[in-house]
Amino acid sequence: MKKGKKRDYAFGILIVLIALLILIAVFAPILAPNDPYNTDLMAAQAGPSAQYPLGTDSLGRCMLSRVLYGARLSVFSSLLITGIVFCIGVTIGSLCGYFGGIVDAILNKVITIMQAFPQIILAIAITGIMGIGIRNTIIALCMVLWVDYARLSRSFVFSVKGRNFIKAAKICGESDLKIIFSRIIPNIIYPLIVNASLGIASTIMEIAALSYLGVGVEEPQAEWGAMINLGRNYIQTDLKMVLIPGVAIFVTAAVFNLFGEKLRDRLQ
Amino acid sequence: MKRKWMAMFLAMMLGAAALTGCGNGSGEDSQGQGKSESEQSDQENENIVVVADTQAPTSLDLAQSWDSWYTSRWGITETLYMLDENLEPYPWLAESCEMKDDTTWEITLRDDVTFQNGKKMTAESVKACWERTAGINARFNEVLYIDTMTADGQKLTVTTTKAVPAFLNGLCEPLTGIIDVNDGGDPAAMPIGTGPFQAVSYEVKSECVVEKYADYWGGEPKADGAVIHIIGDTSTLTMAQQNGESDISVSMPGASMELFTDNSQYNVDGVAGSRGQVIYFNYGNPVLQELSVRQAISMIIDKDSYASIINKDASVTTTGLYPDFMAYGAEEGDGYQYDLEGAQTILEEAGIVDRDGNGIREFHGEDISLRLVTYSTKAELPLFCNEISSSAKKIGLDIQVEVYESVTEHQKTGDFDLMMISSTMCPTGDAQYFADITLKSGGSGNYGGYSNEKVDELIEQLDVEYDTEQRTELAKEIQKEVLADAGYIVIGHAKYYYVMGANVQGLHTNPSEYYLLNKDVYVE
Amino acid sequence: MVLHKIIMQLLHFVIVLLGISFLTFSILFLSPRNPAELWLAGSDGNVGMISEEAIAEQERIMGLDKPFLVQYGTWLGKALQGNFGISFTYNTPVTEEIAKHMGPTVWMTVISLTVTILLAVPLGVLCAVYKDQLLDNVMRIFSFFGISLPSFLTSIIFLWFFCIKMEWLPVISKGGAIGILLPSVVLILQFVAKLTRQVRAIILEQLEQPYVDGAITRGVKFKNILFGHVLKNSAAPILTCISIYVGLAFGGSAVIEGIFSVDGLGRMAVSSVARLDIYVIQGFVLWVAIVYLVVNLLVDILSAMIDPRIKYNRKSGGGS
Repeated sequence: MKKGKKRDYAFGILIVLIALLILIAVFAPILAPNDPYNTDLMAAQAGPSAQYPLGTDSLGRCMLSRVLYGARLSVFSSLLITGIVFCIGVTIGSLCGYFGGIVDAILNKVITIMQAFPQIILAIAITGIMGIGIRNTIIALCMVLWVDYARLSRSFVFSVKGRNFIKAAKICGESDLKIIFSRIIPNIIYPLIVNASLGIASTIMEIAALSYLGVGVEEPQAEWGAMINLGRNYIQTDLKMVLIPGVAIFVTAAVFNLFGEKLRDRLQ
Repeated sequence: MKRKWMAMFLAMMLGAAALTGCGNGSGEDSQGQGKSESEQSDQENENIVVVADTQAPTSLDLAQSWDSWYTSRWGITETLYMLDENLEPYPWLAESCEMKDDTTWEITLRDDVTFQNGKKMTAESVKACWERTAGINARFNEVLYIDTMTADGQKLTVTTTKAVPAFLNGLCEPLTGIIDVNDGGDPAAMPIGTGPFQAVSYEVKSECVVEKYADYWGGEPKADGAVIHIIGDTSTLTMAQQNGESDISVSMPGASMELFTDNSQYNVDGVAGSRGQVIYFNYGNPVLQELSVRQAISMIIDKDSYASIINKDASVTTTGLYPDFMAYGAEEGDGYQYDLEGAQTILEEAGIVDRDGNGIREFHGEDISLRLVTYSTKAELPLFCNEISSSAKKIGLDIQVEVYESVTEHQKTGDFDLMMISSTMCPTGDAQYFADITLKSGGSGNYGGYSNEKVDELIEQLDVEYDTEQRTELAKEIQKEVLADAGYIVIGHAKYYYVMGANVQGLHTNPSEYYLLNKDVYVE
Repeated sequence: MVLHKIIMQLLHFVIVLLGISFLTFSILFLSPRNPAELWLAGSDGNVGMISEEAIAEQERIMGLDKPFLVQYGTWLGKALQGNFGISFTYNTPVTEEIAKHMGPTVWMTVISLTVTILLAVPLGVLCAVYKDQLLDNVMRIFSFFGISLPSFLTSIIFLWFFCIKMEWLPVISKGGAIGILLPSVVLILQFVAKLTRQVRAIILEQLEQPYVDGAITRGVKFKNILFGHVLKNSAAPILTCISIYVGLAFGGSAVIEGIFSVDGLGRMAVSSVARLDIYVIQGFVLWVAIVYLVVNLLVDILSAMIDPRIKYNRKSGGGS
């Protein structure tokens, strides 16, 4: 009883933190002390001051404002990507695993082809065709990442499908869709949720890696990965340019991952 | 439990190390030693210059793509003429080059030049080499426009398909460099050039080893050889120079420059080249057809701060269009000065004002919103564009920056309002190139459709003018006309510079980007 | 029966590889950039400075002037005979090019995956068993670090610390074991951070199954439950997770290889995409696909051996 209460307490804190993150993202324009795109060359690479609480970057833009606006782009886009690929992936994977037969044979070929295709090449090629920018990066990553979930859930379905409770449900005459959505998915969803909660942070990283290779989100977008990418040339001379967005990503990763795990505990 | 894992981990690493070591053979191992040993061997007998660059050719065959630039930088191949620090051509492998008529040139080659296999360089070998290059690389034909070649001893007579006033400059382009094509070897792996260094091995995009050619016609090279490391990442490049693994670094990012300010340890040598940061206006857009808008945009750019603060002095300010240091560069006071208020006044006077009070001026009732397109491979371009966007807002213009991996498609389709690219404006030191392709109506690089009758007329004169002084005057005149028109904006010209250890001797940066290793370079 | 299975498996391989090669070709063909122009322009961003005639001529030399299907058909015909084309950029056969870059990447993969599995699986199990205790919390924080630091940043920090600060290793990789030590460690950190969490989740899921409670009530020792049942039941999903890393690692990491100047496949692939060196990309993609297919097959076979239920399902699934 005591243990359960403690857990709820932590869960509550996490929900507050996530709500806070989302609020920061939504109200970034109000919270930010400066325009994140306004440059001030005379104040470039300055330390913290009253005007720029966290200092400025190499173009003299306010680091605090940029990191706040970054919450918008980074958190929303990675939530969006993870959400999309989770739904698509789990649905396709479960259908594949459950029905088998010709549906599985075809979808599985598609999954295999997509999965066997080196992701980074695919992402680069897609942004190469569609152009650099946050929207195209989101599309490219969605096209690449859904297969992970599809494949994982397909294999999880296989390991659940033969269990007695599924057989029982079938004997009782439950419809296939009902079995999939109310019996199978709840049984395989937890490891997938943990995967997704890690995925939110690693999606931010994927965007950063694409930016590093010159095909992701580009300057001047206040996106955390792009900010780190801009800062890496200054790592020995102006550490805060990577440190500040780095901390932001770390906190986000921690919050979402802990949330994923606590959610899993509760759902159990 | 933990200790056990550690032990296993170490065992794995060692096992892998042993195996990999075996697989690699001795060739790589001799270089794979730690720092101390290579220093030791340096002291003993070898004077090896270690160079690090981020860019590399795909082979050592000078006829391929732009690979000749690298064989020239690495001292393997040489050209008949070379460019001096003002980008003026002077004879090198050739003794002289005389113009017989508009399309006939008589080149006299030096008598003492030998290839690295000991064979003498003759007019016949130059002819054979150029024939081969022209057959492989379509670009060759746009450098010299050769029609026929007649070789006789050390005399090579060339006729061209059209008048080529910049013929001498063309002879400096590394693509026209000379190798022995009758050697029988593979020029891609082992080109036989005339330079002070001879290729030993080249691991594509990884490492090139050259050794001195002791019988070099200009005298025995001071260094025994050189190793060129190709390093993809600029942070790695920076750190390799910091801990002394490389003697000379090329393409150091501006952001790293402040790490190399200690003169007792480092020597940074840089000069401005002709690679300019150019802004193109799209004249298909009615807003940009307005002289006042182009002038206003020209005035919101604080060129000095761009060069010194954003680009950390890795570029210099350009007053007009051509580099200031060229004979035909603009003079102080030409062009546009940074003046936000002045820019606003010009717009007000032209009647371009913000009537609806949303902070953005309107043109024929619509908010002025322009797309500034650029690409990411030159790090300073997106930063410059952001600064322009930010300043434009201050005078009531909305400029949205779009960064692409490449803007080739935009250039072809004209899908831009403003475009910033980094372009080599006078690759062979001549003003005509940029005028022909960019400033002239219908030029192949005139992406925005700029057209000015007066300018076209002047360029046509330039195309057939052979007198150097007259050419300079014409180029200046052209520049003046375009500036009056605010037809193009050139923010600055990138510096071409080397970061060197203080112990590197005999090397001076040349703005052309063609040269690096020469017979005088060595490490103390 | 066995023969039938082998034939079906081979057929699956062939279909997937054909699909992949066609997909690669189409994607590259759709790209607005022109390999001939890129070849002429070199690496210095001189794009756009080259005349249309020169580009057309270069296209002819490269064989790019033909229609899409003819190009693909020609390539496919040759590929079936073992000729995967000539690299535009390097002018060498694609197979040679790949073989040359394979060494460092394969070694990094073998080392980092072995270490990752040896570390992450036991750690994941321990974290699940001792959930919310010290080890679990330490690993949790470590995982957040591993996940929230982009690999290029970790790499740069490592390079700075070990090569500049401590001067233990050279900045420029000289090949061999020393050269792949640091990049392997970066890979390991990245993989361990993720895999530990995944293993932990899978094991926890099993530990919460009713049969575990049942066994405990029956008085079966926890150790026996863990090693006898839980691990056995978790093996298949864990293997599936691991196989994803295998595919990732064998493709090489352009980012990590670039920073540690390792001349591996990842770097080759990304620079080939930048130059649209179609046949090299095609060869690389097929290599990754083959590794993936083989690893997958192994995982399937192993899973079936460990957990017979899967075998049964597979058969009724009728697919692969």
